[in-house]
Amino acid sequence: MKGRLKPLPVAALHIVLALLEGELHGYALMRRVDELSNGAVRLGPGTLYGTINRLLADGLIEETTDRVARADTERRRYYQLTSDGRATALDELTRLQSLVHRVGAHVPRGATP
Amino acid sequence: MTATGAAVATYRALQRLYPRGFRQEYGDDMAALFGEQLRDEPAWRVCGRALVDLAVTVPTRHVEVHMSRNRTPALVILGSLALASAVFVLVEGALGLAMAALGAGLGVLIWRRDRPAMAERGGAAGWWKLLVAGGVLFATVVATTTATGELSQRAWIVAAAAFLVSVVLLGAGTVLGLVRAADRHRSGGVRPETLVP
Repeated sequence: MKGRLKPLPVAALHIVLALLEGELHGYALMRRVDELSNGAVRLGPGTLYGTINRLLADGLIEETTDRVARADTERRRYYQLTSDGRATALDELTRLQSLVHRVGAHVPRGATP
Repeated sequence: MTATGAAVATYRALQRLYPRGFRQEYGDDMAALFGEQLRDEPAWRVCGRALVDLAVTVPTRHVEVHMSRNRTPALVILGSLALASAVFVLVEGALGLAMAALGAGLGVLIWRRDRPAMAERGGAAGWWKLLVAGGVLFATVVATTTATGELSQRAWIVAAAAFLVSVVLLGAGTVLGLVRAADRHRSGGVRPETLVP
């Protein structure tokens, strides 16, 4: 979404970052967020699908379930970033890198772990 | 029933706490995800996390739905009716009626403009019901007043109110019908509600 000024909430941030690698279904997305955050962010079903719902409404992600041929037995719904979503995820990544860089430059030596 | 099956059934029962639209859209996926978590992690941990998740997200989803429904069709129709009544009182005759119908139409347009992405689409599908209801009411009022001749003051007020309601219904139905026709034209003949993911 162009012109987004506020940083994304934690759950939304982790979901768009997880989707930078490509489309994922709900459970894989939850696992990927867990992995990316090193276990710090564990999304419950309500949080995950509530955030997915919000990101769909904001046009940052889209459902791709019907676009790719899948096994007949597979009934999962897949999601991927839209172009706006990808731009937002990359902006957030840049913002976080910049934050780390700035904080690192001002913290006295020996204070970081 | 296995312990996992019982846990999933309980989780499905608790899902009824969510707003209906959200539950219908994601309920199956959430239950499937919960089942997969139970398969991969200890049940006590998954259930504990799910309870905390429910406690946090149920109120949140309700607030979101409440915030997104600041203008319901019924509210807009009632508001339009109030506006139409005021206009009719101030400007009697054909001009008053035309302005009342315009007020109803504007109300519908405002509702459609402000409805959120998650709101039920295809709300214009009931346009013909408004037209039928308005037409029937209009015909009833005209037939009754013609048959009874001179009206008492109380009967006149009731007839005028019914007449206004019929005009508002006809105006709203016409606008919704036109909007729906435009929607169908834009979507290449596909009904708008079938485009909902």
